Amino acid sequence: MDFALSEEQEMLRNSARDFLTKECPKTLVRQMETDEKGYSPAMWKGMSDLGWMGLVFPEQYGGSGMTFLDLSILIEELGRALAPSPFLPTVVYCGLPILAAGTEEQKKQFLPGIAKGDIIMTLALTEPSATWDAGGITVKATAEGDDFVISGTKLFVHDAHIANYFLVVARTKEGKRKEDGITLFLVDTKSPGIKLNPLKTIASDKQFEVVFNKVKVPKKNILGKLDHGWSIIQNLVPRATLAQCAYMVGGAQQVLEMTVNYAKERVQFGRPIGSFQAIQHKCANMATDVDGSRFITYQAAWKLSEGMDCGLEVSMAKAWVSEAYRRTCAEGHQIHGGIGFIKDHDMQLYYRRAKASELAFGDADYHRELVAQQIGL
Amino acid sequence: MDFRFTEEQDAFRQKVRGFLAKELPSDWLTGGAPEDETDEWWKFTQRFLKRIGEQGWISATWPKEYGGQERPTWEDAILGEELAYWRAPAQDYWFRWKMISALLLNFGNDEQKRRHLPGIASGQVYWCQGFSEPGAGSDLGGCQVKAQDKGDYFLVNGQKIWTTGAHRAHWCFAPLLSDPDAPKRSRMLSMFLVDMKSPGVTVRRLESLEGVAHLCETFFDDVKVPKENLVGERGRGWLAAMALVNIERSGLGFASMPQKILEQLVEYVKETKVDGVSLSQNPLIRRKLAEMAIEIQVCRLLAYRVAWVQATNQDVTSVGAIIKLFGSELMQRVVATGLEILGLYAQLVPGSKGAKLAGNITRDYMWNLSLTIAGGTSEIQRIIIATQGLGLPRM
Repeated sequence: MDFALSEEQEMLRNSARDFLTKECPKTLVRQMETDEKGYSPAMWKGMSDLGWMGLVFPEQYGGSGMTFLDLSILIEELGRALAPSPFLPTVVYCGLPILAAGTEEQKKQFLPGIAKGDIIMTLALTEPSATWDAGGITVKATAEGDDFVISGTKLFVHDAHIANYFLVVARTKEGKRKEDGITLFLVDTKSPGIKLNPLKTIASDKQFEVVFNKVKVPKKNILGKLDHGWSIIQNLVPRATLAQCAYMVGGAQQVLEMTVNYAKERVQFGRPIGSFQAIQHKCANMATDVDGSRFITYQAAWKLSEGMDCGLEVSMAKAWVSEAYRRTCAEGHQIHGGIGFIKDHDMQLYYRRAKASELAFGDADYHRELVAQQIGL
Repeated sequence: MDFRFTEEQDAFRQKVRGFLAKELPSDWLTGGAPEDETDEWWKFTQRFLKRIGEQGWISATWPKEYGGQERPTWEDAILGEELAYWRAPAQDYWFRWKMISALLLNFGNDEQKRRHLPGIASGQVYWCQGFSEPGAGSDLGGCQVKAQDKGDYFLVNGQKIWTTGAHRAHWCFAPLLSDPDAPKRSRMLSMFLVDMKSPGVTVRRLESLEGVAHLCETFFDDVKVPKENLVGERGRGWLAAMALVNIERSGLGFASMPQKILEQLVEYVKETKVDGVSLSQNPLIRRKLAEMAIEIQVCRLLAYRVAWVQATNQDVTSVGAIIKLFGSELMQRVVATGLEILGLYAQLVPGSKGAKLAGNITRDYMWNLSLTIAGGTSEIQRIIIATQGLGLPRM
């Protein structure tokens, strides 16, 4: 057993932290909350120059062939910096499914472009029913000659306004099981019949309702097999879920550090508040939550990277980290007192995003039920 | 990063399991274990501890020159994990052997090592820990039991408390006040080995709420402790004590004991029907047990992290405090949840007609109060994490 990062992972983490400290100050994070695009193309370019978008793609697709665990370490740094970028939707939610299920032609069409930072993509999975289960897929795609025609409404689609392509999860057939008859489509966002309605979110991230009104997609843009697309989503979900966990671990670590630093500096009753046991105990609870979050995430990501079964570990991680991050933010706020919830302070940036990450790919209740099923209940 | 045990470590675990399957009766966890501190229990326990010694497991990590095999510390950790999972008897004896042998190996002189280590390795010489006093609990630096230098010997007077197992112990290791005039409190104590057969040593057993009397008070009344029983440098007893509590706090058993309870509860709710419906279908129970499984997983990783920190010779103080804090509080949550699930049956103790899961969880509910107190309270652990781990200023 070895809890240490490899030398390569240390280098990746350090270079990510250096880059993000320089290129992603909190002024940028704040600015992007109200920016129309919601991300900085200059920073995006810098990220691709460092090879981040292609990190886990094989070399022949412009990547560097690193592991999912390596990617998790990078994502942790993105979460620490709250880097506003379409990184997770593009690389994790769409790039990985294309790598796993795409034809050679599709891989060549998309992966090098993603790696270079030229293609932004996003996943159109959830609908107004707001469930993560296959039963929630009602957007229909009907065959018409060489095309499919997609109609229906997707909700909570990230970065839809800047994406070049959607990965749309649609129902092509009513099957016996709700998992049957689902197909994935790579849809050019400029196709006629697509309408975007922006949502206003707690994290001030860019999410949309995407309405498909008879949108034509060529059959060659099906990802994977017709009517058998759900297995691709099942393969993606643990990866996307762990990416969220890693993102939260980074954020929680930063909240802990900010809070400890504040407790050392803030003086009341003639001494730093961090010398009071009431504050020390809270900080100790935060440290325990953060360590637990990191290891439960790393272990699942390591198992995934090693090709082992990790369904149980992934759900355990998401259930734990979702709530631990929320607790860490809440304790951090309590220690910061009034100043922490003023918009100029960084704490509130984390508090709001913690809620968003908690919800993404299943909250703690959702994953606890999955855990229950996997421990024999 | 690698979360696998090596083949060699897995093989060692299997060996331990094989041993325990042979040494513990098959109904050990389902009602067959004798009540703690009864004659039957002690007879069984003595034999069991001796058998552990015979495997070479107590001394496995020691240097060869003192009878050890220089095995990696991971094996010790795995042994502890399995002992806790199977609820092997008198694990506190095993822990104290770890502490006293670490004390001797790190601070003792050659003669002390040669004199005491073989008995420890054999699993037949019992030690108690003389740390706390009525007036010195969390504040261990405030120990007041005096050890006056009388030339050839130290004259010891005063009272220790929570000297668990003192009524059966042959020896006691204890920080005593040898230098009350030292300029710093941390230089006032020295670590001593006290022969429990010395004239003037009296042990009084304390009965705790579950009805077991193994916590003890030990009184020293003009006890002569020979000079050669001073361990390490005089005035450095507090330092040695701090090194030992780190060992006390870093067990893998924190995760494996609740793991067994979880497994038993999962079986129980699957087999138990209320109004014709299996308890395992009850959403509230599913949620509780899932949460329990998740918290145990976190605990296991925090425990493995400590074992890794120890195996790689890094400072264990803060991470040891984290596992002690999380593990002890987790065990209390697990047991409380277990009793919620047992409903009315939760009040039945071992031996009662109708007791579920042999009444073991109810017994755990009574003794596990000590977990968040013994070996440093949760509050002390939090202060250690905050000051030593996070660098917050001291009071």
